[in-house]
Amino acid sequence: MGFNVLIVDDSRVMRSVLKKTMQMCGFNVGQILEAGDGREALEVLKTNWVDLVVTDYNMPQMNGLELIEEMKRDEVLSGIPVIVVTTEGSEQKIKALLDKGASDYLQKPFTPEQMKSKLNRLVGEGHNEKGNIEEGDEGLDF
Amino acid sequence: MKRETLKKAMRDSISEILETMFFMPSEYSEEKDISGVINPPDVAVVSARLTYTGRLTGTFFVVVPVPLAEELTGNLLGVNTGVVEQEEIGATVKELLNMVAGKTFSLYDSKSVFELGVPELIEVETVLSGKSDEHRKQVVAVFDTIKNPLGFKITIDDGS
Repeated sequence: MGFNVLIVDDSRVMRSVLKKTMQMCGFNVGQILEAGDGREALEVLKTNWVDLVVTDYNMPQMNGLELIEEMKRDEVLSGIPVIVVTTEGSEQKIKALLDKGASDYLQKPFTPEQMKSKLNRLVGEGHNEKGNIEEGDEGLDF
Repeated sequence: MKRETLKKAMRDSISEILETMFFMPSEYSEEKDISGVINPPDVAVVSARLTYTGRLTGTFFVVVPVPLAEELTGNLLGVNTGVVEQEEIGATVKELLNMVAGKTFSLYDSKSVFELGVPELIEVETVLSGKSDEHRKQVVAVFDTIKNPLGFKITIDDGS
């Protein structure tokens, strides 16, 4: 079973690009949900479980940073890792994102390999492309 | 403002972004005027701008001939050029500008914070006007591709 991902970006084109890159980079993606800004993302998260959120930084209504702050206030949502995709490169802004609770960031432009590396790091390096736990990792034993 | 440093940052950003995100090889052109992108003279273009503030303040522009804009959109979305929609082309050009602006400033000075405004589509005449304003500082970069050239211009407000 693949990982469910929520993509948050006010640009429909960028949502398509992120979706396409995620699918082609070999990451074990399951269901991909989409939202146009932070507010819409919170609505989606109320009724859908996701393993990871990938969000733009600059968005109307609620930006990526504000979305992270809202998620951190929620007992359930606070445990979901968040990657911020951004054109921002200033050290100050990157630090602010990470201090507020972003799990990682991906600066544009990015390659499929860079995205895959970030995704795998956050939702388990022990999971290979087929979703199987690699040898050497402890499995669940019911 | 270190003009040559900014120009290099802009050139490096454009080249990397076209290659990495848009799968479009490009080569820096010696063309100094952004109007040189409008070649042949009757080619339709898509233009966009965004304002920026921070250590420097001003406006960032892009001008892309429509045939190239269609190709960039198809490459970005991973679809055939023939099926791209007008709205997608506009969104692609705005996103291109957004990425180039962000990357340019992060290469120029990663320790300073630059705030980028929301990109908006504009008429090309807006980009071309003011090019002879001697008091406005500006940097232009034109790149050739296998399809058409495209151009970027940064204007820097007095006092920056």
